[in-house]
Amino acid sequence: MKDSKDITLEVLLEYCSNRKSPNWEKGWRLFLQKYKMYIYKVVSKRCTAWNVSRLNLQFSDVVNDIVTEIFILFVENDAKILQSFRARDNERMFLAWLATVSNRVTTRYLQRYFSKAIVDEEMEDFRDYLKGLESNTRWELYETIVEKIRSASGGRKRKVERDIHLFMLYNWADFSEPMIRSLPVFQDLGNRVLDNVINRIRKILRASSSDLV
Amino acid sequence: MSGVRLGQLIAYLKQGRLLSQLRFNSDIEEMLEKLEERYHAVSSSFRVSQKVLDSMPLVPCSPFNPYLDKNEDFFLAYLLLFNNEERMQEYHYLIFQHLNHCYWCFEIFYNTLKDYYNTNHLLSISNN
Ligand SMILES: [Zn+2]
Repeated sequence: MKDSKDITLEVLLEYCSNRKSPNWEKGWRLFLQKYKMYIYKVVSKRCTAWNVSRLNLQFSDVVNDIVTEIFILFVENDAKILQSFRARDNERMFLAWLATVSNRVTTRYLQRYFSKAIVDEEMEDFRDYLKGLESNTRWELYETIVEKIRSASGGRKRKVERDIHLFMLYNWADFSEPMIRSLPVFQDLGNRVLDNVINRIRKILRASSSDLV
Repeated sequence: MSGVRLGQLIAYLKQGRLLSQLRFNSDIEEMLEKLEERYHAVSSSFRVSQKVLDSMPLVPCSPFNPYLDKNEDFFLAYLLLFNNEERMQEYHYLIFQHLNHCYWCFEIFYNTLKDYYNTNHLLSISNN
């Protein structure tokens, strides 16, 4: 078999895609040699942007866990994901694609921790944590949480949007109850409505992070 | 330029800037005058305030040009003219929807509202 320097991307992906092939194991060894550090870099960069150390997580453990998840994703089902990459003659496009997949897996992994953090009453400094993030990361986190609540909430669309807004004002923007009630739209909010909304959404987010210890 | 923010200015406007305790520098006076003009334009008819909200985007804004950035008309209408009547429900829904979809506007929205609330609160205390 050829050395990794001589092998084309197309051939390498073929080796990795067929578990029965005599080249499968060697193919993966070459793949690791060639791309593991790159994937580590992508994942580390994203974990740095999301400031994972502030969430009481060990940075290197998180990065290792995520890189393992990425490789499991690539290997499973006869490398179905790798097979879906089409531009096999274009190394640059492959690197960009690897970065996209790695970023997606990292975000999915971290989402579970952020869902937990935003509802964890012991984590009083969640808002300080938010302030320390770059605005693009805050934006991404906000969208992630809103989407999670939206997809898990049943009922009328109008009520769901109102409840998400209430939750975000209270939990994200640190509005007190009097502040919320001073807004024109919430002046007639029932006595228990705010508590009920916050508790219900906390339950949703807690459930979505329930696979954590 | 003065560092006074829109939410603070709207609170000054609401409380009446003729309060004897309040002494503004000329920059702020000028800003308040302009804001007062906008307020009269927006409040002159209900339809004008409706128009302010009809322009609420249905899709998230670009981070470089959020709809609520320096949007005096919106905040004047929202804070001083809107209420929770049945006929306003459609507008409130549009606002919820946009703010849930658009982080950039949400950030401007809550910071402006906090400024407004805190300034209003301080003025009420000092006025008593
Ligand atoms: Zn917007």
